[in-house]
Amino acid sequence: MTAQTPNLVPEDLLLPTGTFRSEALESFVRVRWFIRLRWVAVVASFILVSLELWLYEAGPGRRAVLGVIAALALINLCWMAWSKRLRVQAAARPADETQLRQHIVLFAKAQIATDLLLLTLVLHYYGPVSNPMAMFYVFHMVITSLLLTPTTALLQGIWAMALYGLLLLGEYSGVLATPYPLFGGQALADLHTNPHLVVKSYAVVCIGVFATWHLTSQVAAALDERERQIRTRDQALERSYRKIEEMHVRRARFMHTAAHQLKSPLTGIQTMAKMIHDGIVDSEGALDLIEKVIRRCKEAIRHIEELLTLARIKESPSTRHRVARTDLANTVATVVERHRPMADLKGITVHWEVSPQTIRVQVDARDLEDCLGNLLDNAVKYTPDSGRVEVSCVCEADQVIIRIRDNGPGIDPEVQKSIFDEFRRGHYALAAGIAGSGLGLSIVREIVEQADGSVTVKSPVNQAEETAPGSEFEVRFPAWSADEPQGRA
Amino acid sequence: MLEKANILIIEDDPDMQDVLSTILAPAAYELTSCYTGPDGMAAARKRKPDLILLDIMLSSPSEGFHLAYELKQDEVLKEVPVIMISSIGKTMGLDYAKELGSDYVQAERFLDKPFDAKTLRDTVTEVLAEAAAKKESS
Repeated sequence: MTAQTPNLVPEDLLLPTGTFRSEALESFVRVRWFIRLRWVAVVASFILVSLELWLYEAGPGRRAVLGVIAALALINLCWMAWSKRLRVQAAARPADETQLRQHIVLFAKAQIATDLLLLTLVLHYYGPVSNPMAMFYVFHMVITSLLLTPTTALLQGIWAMALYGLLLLGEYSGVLATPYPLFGGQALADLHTNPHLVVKSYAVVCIGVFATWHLTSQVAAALDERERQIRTRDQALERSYRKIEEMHVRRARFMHTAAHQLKSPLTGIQTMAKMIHDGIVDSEGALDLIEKVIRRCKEAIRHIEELLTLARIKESPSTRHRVARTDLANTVATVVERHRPMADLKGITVHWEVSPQTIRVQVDARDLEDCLGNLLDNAVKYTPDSGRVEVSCVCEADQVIIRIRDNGPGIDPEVQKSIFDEFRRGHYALAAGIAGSGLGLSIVREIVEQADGSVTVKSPVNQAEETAPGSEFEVRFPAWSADEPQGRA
Repeated sequence: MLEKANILIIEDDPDMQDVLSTILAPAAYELTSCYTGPDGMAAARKRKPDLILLDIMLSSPSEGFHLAYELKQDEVLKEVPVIMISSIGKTMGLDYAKELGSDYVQAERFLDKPFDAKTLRDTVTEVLAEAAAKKESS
């Protein structure tokens, strides 16, 4: 029951970083974005090469390019099958999504690595030196950096540049066959043997690839962070909204029940007055009814007072308790003395003691009086004639413990669970015809929660068969100081 | 049968119990009164009443509804007509009923407080007559 300060964004709601990347990657797989793009590349390449074959003289290099395009189409069919499998797995909403996410990442890595290999092959057949098609390495780097982690993207970049470097070196050294220039440009046929051009080409593409990797990874990281913040706020808002909604329902229910509590004595008054008016009872009966009407008026006033107390406590800022230095001994004495006449009327002994080291508590003085007053009021009300009520206060560590014990009829375990709820009344109270609104213990709970304390109930407290079961309420409040020797017994 | 009907009153307010008894006294019903839900249930099981007058706010704001629901689930007591008497209002009554998974209040009549003597007497007579007719037809 200890009150806690709610965090605006609870730790358990914080999302791990990389959310934007993984979500984007999943959506790319779901819409088969990679595969569609590759089909576009296959069709465009096929048209271009066919156009070239038609316009220029056909050679072995061109046919090899057609072979690469065919390989790309075949591989894409494999990717389609893999993608379908992943989408089926994702649609099944597995309990543990980690494995699915790992598969998706592996799928993306495999596709990009294969694409880079095929791109290098195409470059080989069209001549890698000063070839504008090398910009497709940069294009792949943008996609990789956006969708995968920076480390994975860097490794893909290294893989691409290793392939490109080996291609340039192989052609320069003559290990690989001479490249075939684009669109029959025979004048470019010897570029691969020019060391300056080879080094410059490689350097420019490398700079382009790694600069793109760096910049895109930075942008993706920023997007990740923004996504995480938005989602976290979104969830916090959703939680707040639910809390507000629950609060509205509770408030409406409270208002309705409170209205009923106020209406109840009035309806009784009206019914009884009408009975007198209609002559349903004789003059003696009418006198009896008038007495009941007076009693119910008092009851209604008491209900209103308790509702006002509860409203005052709920509306007051809880900070009032932090600055409070209420003298416990004085408050207990005041409350006990206030209930003494009622206890004396029933022959009940009220014994109280305050530990000498218990001094001040961090509870507003008026609230502490209300809290202890309600508990003592209940104890005296429910304790039979000639019974005993004990109030004890001790200080333990930084807490003050107040126990109010009676030898009354006790409280059913079932009732104990909801005893602090508003308008809750025990069966014994009803059976014994003890008046009450069912708000007293709600007031106690509200005060205790606001003051960072706790309240518990224990019943039965007397095990001996010949004695009444009794009950004990234990209230804990933060102590302000336990050093000053003060208090009385 | 109607005049000798056994009516069980479950009402936590002693004054209201007196009022109900006083109003119904001329009809010479046999009245049994209980202050709590468990006591009322025990009394009904001990001797099946012909009618139950049930308050809603007993130990909790909705105990009367729970009790009515329990009565309607009981093989022996489910036929006993119930008149709910409360100032809680029927709308809120339906809210409580929904919490128990029911779309309607488990009672034959819902009597709003305050009521006059004639309304109570008429309602009791009516419900008892309906129950008797139902018993005869079955």
